[in-house]
Formats: sequence, C-alpha cells, structure tokens
Amino acid sequence: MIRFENVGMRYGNGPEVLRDVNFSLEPGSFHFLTGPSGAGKTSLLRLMYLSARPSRGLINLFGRDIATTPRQDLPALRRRIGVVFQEFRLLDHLSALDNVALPLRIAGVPESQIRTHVAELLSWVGLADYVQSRPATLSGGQQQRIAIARALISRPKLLLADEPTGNVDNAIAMRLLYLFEELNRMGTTVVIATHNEGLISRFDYPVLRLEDGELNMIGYGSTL
Amino acid sequence: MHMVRTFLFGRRYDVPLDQDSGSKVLPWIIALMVYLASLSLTATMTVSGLIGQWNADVAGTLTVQVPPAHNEGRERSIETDPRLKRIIAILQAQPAIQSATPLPQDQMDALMAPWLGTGDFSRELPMPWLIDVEIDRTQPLDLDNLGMQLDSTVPGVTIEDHQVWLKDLIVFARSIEVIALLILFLVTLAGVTVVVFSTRAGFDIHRNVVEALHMMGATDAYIAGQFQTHAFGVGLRGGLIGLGMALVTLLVATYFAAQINSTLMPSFSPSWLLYLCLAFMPLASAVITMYAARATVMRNLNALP
Ligand SMILES: Nc1ncnc2c1ncn2[C@@H]1O[C@H](COP(=O)(O)OP(=O)(O)O)[C@@H](O)[C@H]1O
Ligand SMILES: [Mg+2]
Repeated sequence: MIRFENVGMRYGNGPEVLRDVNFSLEPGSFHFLTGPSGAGKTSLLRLMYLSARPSRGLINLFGRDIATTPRQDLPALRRRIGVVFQEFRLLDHLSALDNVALPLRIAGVPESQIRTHVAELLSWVGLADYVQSRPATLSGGQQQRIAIARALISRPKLLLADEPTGNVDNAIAMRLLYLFEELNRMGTTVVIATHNEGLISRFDYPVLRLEDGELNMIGYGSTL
Repeated sequence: MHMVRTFLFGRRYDVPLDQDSGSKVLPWIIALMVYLASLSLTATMTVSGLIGQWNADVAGTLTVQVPPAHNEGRERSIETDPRLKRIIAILQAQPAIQSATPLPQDQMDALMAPWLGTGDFSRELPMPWLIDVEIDRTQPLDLDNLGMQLDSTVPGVTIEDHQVWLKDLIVFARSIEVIALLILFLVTLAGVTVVVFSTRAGFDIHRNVVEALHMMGATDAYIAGQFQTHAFGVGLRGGLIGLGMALVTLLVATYFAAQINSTLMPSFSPSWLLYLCLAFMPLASAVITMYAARATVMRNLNALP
C-alpha cells in the first residue's frame, strides 16, 4: 500500500524535519501516528498524500514510485486517498453538503447519485440538521466532522487523518474513531495522526512515533 | 444569477471567483478594450471600403482638360468649338481608349456651383472644357506621348490621370488602416495582459481553495475549468457592454455624417459586413479572455506538486 525508504524532507533550505524515515503499511492496516507538536506528523502525512516531495529517499504508493510517476498521473492517485486536514480546508462559500460532495464531483460521479450519498454520510457524523449550513456558521467540532465526511465520501483506499479529534470532546472523538474503524473493516488503510495518547490507549492498533524527525514503531495502543 | 449560471454551466463554481472585488471591475476594463477595438475595426473597414470605392470610381478614367478659347463667352458650346472635336478625334483613335465624352455645360455648372454660385456670372468666366475619358487599363497607353500630341494640337491641353493622385490618397488611407490595425492589436494585447494579471490575482486569493481541490485529486484541467468558465462570462459581459458603447458611437457618427451631406466628405455609412464583424466582438472577447485565464491558471498549477 505504502512504503517509505530512507526518506528525508526539508522545507526550502531549512533543516531536515524528517530523517531516514523507513516504514511500510499493509493494505487494510490501521495505524496511529503520534509524537509531540512540531515532530513532523503533518509533514509525514503531506508526503503520503502527495502535497509535498521528499528531499531524498523513495516513496512507493499503491505500487508506484512517486519520483518517477508523471505529473498527470498524480490526480488519479490522490483520488484514492481521503485526507482530513488538520486545519480542515473546507470551502467557506459552499454548504456542508457541497463541501462533502466535492470529491465525488471532482471524480465525475453523476449528480443524481451524489445527493443521497452525501446526506446519508452527514447524518452518520451527526450533522443531518446542518446539510445546508456554511462551515463558518458551525463550531470547530462540526467543521471537523464535515472534513471527515468529505474524506470518507469517496470510499478511499487510504485514509489519512491529521488530528481529527482535536476539536471535539471525548464522546464524539470515540464516535469518530468507531467510524474510522468501520471504514477500516471495509478495507480502507487508515493512518491517524494524534497527540491524544489517552485516545490511542483505548484501541489496540500499532503506534508509530515521530520524535525529532525520526520514526519508530513503539508498540500497540492498549499496551502503552 | 445563480439560476442562470446553473442553467448555463450545470452547476456553481467550486472557486468563488464571482465574489472577488476584481471581478466587478474587470468586465468594465474589458468593455473599454472591446470599445476601442470596435472603433479601430470600424476605422479599418471604413477606410478599406473607401479605398475600394475610389478605385472602382476612377480605375478606368482619365480627365482631359482643354483650356477655354480666347474669345469665347456666353454662347460657347461643345458643337461650336472645333478644337474640342480635334482633341476628341485624337483620343478616340487610341486603341486603349474606349470613349471620350465632353462634360455637358450643365454638369460643369453643377460642379462649380459650390464655389461660384448659380448665377449667370459663372457663364461669363472662361472655363476649361473637361473630357471624361474611359480607358481599358489592360491595353498599353503612353500617356506622355499622348499628352505631347494633344498639346501640339491645342496648346495648354492637360491630361489628369486620377490614378496618380489616388495613389497618394491610397498611401495615406493605407497608413490609417495600418495604424488602426496596430491599435486593434495593442488593445487586444493590453486586454490579455489585464486578464492574465487579474487571473493571477484571483489564483492567489483563492490559493487555499485551489490547493484543497488539487489535493482532493482535481486535475489541472478541472481547476482551470473553474477559472475559465468564469473568465468566459466576464469576457462576454465586457464584450457586450463594449459593443453597446461602440454601436451608440457608430449611430451618432452616422447621424452626423448624414447631416453634413457634403460632396467633399467621403460618405460614412457602415456596411453590413462591419456590423457582422462587430457582432462577433463579444464572442471573440469571451474566447480570448477564457484562453488567457486558462493559460495563466495552467502555468500556476504547474508549480504545485
Ligand atoms: N510550510 C512549512 N515551512 C517551513 N517549515 C515548516 C512548514 N511546515 C512545518 N514546518 C516545520 O516542520 C517541522 C514539523 O512540523 P509539522 O510537520 O507540522 O509537525 P507536527 O504536525 O508534528 O506538529 C516544524 O519544525 C515546523 O516548524
Ligand atoms: Mg501537525
């Protein structure tokens, strides 16, 4: 599904924020990615969802070497990845429904199939009453759930979530994690970056830890 | 507005370009460009129409001018002037000359009326005779030789080849035409530049949205399509406004040209071809705006990973 070999990354001419990162994720796996703020979690996810290029090393995604993949093939790869951005990146001029529908429209799904799908998923994340609301009129937690619904709507092969429970209380956080588990059971590979160690310990999934730009597998959630 | 857009383009924009302050000004700038372009086009087509008209009018004609006899007065006539007969005979002997007809006195009077009035006074003045000569330009005609022959028959006879002064006039008209075309080109260039910069500004304003779309797997063509559709609308709106202003100007100009009603002024009556070309201006403006926006966005997108 995804393999990193000796990956290093720097912003501009700055220091390496990721150093010699090696790991591989099996299809259908579920991982937590943790580490202190500034450790490089977001940077690592950006490499995975092809929004940044490594400064060295090899990244293999869906069996393709990213460095040699032509640029025009990248959108199709990105469409197989669902991303929950740390800062949501919702489109403020669109309703919750249109935001969540966006990946389907980009993929060219017929309009007739979009509406019911989207409404269904929005009620799944507890936003049935906010289908026509603009993101700016909603709370941080509600916006986060729109962002999650948008990442899930196209049933991605790989789901990358950057602090997806950062703005919700524990009850909703658990509920969202059950949603990710549900998706994982249907075959999606899931990576969740979070510094909420309490949450991690309530699940029995492998945990990757980033510290000073180096990545280590540190065990399973419930044993930490 | 939203209904119309949905009707025209299937759905709303993912990139909210219509909310930019720039997109309220841009149609007016484009309108101004289209207005100037329309006037340049009008100038070009009118001048080239005039050149064609002049050419057709004088292409096959010469005027031979015979000075008045010393003693002629009130009772002069074509029939009684033997010199005229001799000149006409020489002219008609040339193979290249198809006809030679003296201008009748009443036509002479009409020609002179604006300067001399219509009174008997004009009859008192010694006037040259004018002979309209129709020639076939495909046959050789040595004008210098003919001129000398005529001059030795009746001293003071001159041949006026309209082609000569027309040539100068045409050079002048052509230079107006070239300048107008140059203005058309520069205005288009300026318009494209404005669109490129405003698209680049729009791209920067909406960089967040663009990047979000990009990371959701939107192709460059999809994202460019958003800008392009919007740009087409802006170009079309600007083009229609500009065309409207140009038509008003043309109507006013046509009205005043008709009021002047002078034989000295070339007639100004826009042709249907001009109107047809002008009718295409909004579409041309929309298409040019669209492609300028597309090219700009595609270039900027290329910088994304
Ligand atoms: N766009 C950027 N430009 C320059 N430096 C950045 C940028 N984004 C992150 N960094 C730096 O990279 C390091 C890792 O940041 P980040 O990946 O956001 O960590 P985390 O998500 O674990 O908090 C930090 O030192 C941060 O300052
Ligand atoms: Mg982060």
